[in-house]
Amino acid sequence: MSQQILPFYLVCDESGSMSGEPIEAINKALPELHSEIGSNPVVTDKTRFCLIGFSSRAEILLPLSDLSTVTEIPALQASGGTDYAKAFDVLRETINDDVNTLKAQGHQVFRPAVFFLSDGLPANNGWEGAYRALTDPGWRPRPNILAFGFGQADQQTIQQVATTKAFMANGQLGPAQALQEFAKSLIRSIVNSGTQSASDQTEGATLVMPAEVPGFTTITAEAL
Amino acid sequence: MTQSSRPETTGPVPPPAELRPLPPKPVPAPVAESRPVITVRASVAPPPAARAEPLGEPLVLVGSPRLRSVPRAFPSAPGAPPDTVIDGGEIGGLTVRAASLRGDDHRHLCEPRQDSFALHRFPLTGRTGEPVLLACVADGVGSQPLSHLGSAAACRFLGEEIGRYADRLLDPAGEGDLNALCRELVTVVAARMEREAAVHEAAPKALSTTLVAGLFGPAQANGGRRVVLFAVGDSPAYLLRDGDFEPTFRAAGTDEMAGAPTFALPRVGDVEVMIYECVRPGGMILLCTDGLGNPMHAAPVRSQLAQWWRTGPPGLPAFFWQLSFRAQSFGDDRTAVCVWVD
Repeated sequence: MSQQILPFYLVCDESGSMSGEPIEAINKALPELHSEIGSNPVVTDKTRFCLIGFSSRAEILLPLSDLSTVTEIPALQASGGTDYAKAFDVLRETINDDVNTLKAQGHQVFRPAVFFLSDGLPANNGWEGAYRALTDPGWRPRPNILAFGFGQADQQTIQQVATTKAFMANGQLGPAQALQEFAKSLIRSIVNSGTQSASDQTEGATLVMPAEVPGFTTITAEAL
Repeated sequence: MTQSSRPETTGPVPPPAELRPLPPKPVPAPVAESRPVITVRASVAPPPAARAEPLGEPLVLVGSPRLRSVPRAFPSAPGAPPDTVIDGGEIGGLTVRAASLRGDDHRHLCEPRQDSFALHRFPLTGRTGEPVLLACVADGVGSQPLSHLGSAAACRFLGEEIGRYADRLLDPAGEGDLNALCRELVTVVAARMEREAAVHEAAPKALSTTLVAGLFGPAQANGGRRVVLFAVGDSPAYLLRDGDFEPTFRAAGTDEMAGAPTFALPRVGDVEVMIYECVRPGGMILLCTDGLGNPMHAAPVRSQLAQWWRTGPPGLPAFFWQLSFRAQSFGDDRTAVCVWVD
């Protein structure tokens, strides 16, 4: 039963401002993502995937799963506001439960990876506290976070959310194309992390970060 | 045209001209019957009856791997080593089995094996010239482009430098200096690796590799022998004793997340040193990469390997087959050097 497992979380903003083309682009990209991950044996053998959507609330749309056994993924639906605090709280609790469950099953768990995708300005409700809990150095399963900003997203906020790398859509691609490039980058990143996590240990990272994503400007993550 | 109109074929078909057989060698004249005979007898005993059962596909010991265990396209990286290397031998009462297998991830992605090992034998200069063994295992760091060259270089350089240190490392009187000596030796190896990186016009980091080594001294009067183990990075070593593997270096906490940072040459970092004063006959020391050490955290792998190896060294084909066991999610290169004390 003892396997090496990389838990991977895709956390998507599905607030009202994402309605129309952006949300459709993500929903269109999900089957592609599923097919790519689920049919790549190097990745499926050691990656588990979880989808979380957030707006005024946060919801686990797909619990941590072996994608090769998944046949349906709930679609994202745009509505409501942008509550980062809810997203980070649910993410922390989910990661904590998942890692504990995997460890109790005897697995060796790699540091979780999070792709965080948002187009909006978060509600000013003290989300920084929830973020600090999520990235607390004293909390062992704290994830590596890549953040992607779209549309009206505030660059400084996206920078603040990322622990390793942040990307801002640069307007050269429309939102749909930018999201498709995002999905491709996500796939490459999962393939690489699934592939290299076992041996790539000098940097202590379990995720191979994309250096750049077409349609996005790479910005450095803010030092914590 | 009827059958009978074909040309009649009689006798064997003559071979094509280019395959003409050589004329037979002349038979030597028979020995004269009148000569006296000398009785001779060969003393080669037949080998012990080997089980002729076929080994079949490697055992699946963890999960249900969906990744196939086959090499695909040859890797295109410069200096890529063979998919698998197997070696073995006997030296001064030690029996060695060693193999380095490319991981199924690297096979799938047509990338080179980054693990290396080397077995260096040499006489001890300061004593009676008894043969000693230095076994080295190195795990090239996955993210670095030339780490397959780095792991091989570390093993080679250590073999070239050990001669000036072996006597002192194995001298019980010099035990107080052991840590400093090992560190000095590793620092010399690291410096040579930095020069090697320059030859490849690469940053030293491109050759990043762990290194674990075991220097096996000559048999002592009491039947045991002194073994000095030292390591940079997370490649482990074990002593197989009483049917189970004991880690020789400090074990990583089970509460930690997997994939923690490791030290890697040519940065010297911490050099861990362990000394076994007296490894008894029947004992076995395993040096390996985490491609084997990690799946060994799974009980089925650990117990199966112990069962195979507790009774002594297997033959080379069996050793390769055993080390080829399948374990879902463990797609890293797998390297093991096993040294049994006879």
